[in-house]
Amino acid sequence: MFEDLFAHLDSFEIAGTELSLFNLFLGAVIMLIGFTIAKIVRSLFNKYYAPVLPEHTAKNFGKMIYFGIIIISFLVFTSTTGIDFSGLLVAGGILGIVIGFATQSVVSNLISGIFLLIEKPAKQGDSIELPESGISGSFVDVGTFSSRIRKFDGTIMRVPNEKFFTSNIRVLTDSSVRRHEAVVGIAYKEDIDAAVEVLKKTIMSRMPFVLHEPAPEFRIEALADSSINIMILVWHPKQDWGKVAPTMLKIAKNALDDAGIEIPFPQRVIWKGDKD
Amino acid sequence: MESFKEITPIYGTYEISENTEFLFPSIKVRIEKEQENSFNYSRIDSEGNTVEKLIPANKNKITIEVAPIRPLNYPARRTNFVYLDFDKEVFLSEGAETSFLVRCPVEVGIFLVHDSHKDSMDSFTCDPSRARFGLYGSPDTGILCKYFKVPIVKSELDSELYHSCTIRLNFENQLDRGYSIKKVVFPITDHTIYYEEEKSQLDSLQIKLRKRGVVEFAEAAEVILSNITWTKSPSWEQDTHTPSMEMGLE
Repeated sequence: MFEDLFAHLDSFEIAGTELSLFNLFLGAVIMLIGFTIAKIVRSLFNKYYAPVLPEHTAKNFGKMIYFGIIIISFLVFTSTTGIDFSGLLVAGGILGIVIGFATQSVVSNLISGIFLLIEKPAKQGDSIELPESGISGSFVDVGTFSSRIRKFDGTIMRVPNEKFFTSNIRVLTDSSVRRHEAVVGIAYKEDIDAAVEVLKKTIMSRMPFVLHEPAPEFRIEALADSSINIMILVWHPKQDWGKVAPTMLKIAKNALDDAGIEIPFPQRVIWKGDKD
Repeated sequence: MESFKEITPIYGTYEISENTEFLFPSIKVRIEKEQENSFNYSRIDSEGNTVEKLIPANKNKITIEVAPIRPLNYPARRTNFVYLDFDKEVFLSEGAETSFLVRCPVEVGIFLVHDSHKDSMDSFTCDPSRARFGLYGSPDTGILCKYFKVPIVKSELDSELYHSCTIRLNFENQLDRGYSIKKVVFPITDHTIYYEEEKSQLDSLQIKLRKRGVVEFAEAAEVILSNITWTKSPSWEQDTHTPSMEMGLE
């Protein structure tokens, strides 16, 4: 019936294949159904399975399902209508080179994106830092031309894939633990061992996220201008930087204050020359 | 000022129909009848921090179970493993088979009992200063564990109410040399806790020290206490997944 409806219309040629308007209409319907099924399957997956999977796995699976169904629909469309794309390959190749030169950075970002997907320098949700760009935050995803990082202030930073791919990437949450370092100064008159003992005892008892094994370490970092600087190194679970780093110096200061150990402020002794 | 019936609980089941206060070391749990069919639950620690929950009930009374649970929830759920660091080393000579008991810390779980279900309502530790983390192995490949310094004890009954249970460790040294054991690391989620009044114990652990080629390794497996007549604790751990819904639910 539908074929009769389109019978009076002219046919035309695509990639060397005679194509009637009916075939084109059929193709559009197949693609529309394909897109609809892809959307439905992806949303069902997101609803029933994605919440229990790791974020990056869920997103990758979602994309794979969506584009997989669209590719299958396209193959069904071409085999139904009998379109043969082999003739387009030569022309497409030449066109590709022309477009490639014209849109070098776009292609570069696209290719870098593919390499990033293959290499996977970080997983979605990992905390990362790009030291040269001064960007740090949670890695969101690799897109077609750019990657997204959610900064710790909640804003999204878009980084072109090429720049992301060639940057030094520091992954902050790849291993199960992280180390935090802080420096505290005590006066020269104070007993170093006693100060270290006070700091160790307080950190171990008041900071539940600090690991007992390996135990906190204390190093004399410098005999500085005004103080003996003690570096405190503690390990903590990777998720708990926020429960350790911001409170460490406060706890160290209070512990030294309670023990009567002086934290000196910068000072300079000036000797006055004798007039005689 | 409302009056509360004070109870110093042991592990077990309690039926509550009036205002009741459970006295744990440094923690008070109050269950207050708010209306005909609802109760107010509150837990207050020694620093005054309070956790409050409303419990709707079908009847004018509720049943709760106080039970020891695996020590994985405080200060936060991060791992399934525990690292028991013995207070003294145990030396196993070549070919030796030995068995000894150590204390393993526990947390306290409060479960709401209804029909045949036991749902976890709250959990806490009576020993917050001992609930610490440790790393077994190197920072890049190591396993994050709950870390406890534990004593070797003489009897299964040497557990401490609210604080620790006992676990039997069976060792078999199949190496061609003596070996000193100072610590044991294992996934405690495979183990069940059993309790009776003030006492509690964990499924045993069977550890074989073996050699494969030139590699020495320890093969560990839990041994279920099948003959025990004590009550099985409805053990519970905080889940990392929260129910999913459009507007958020936790």
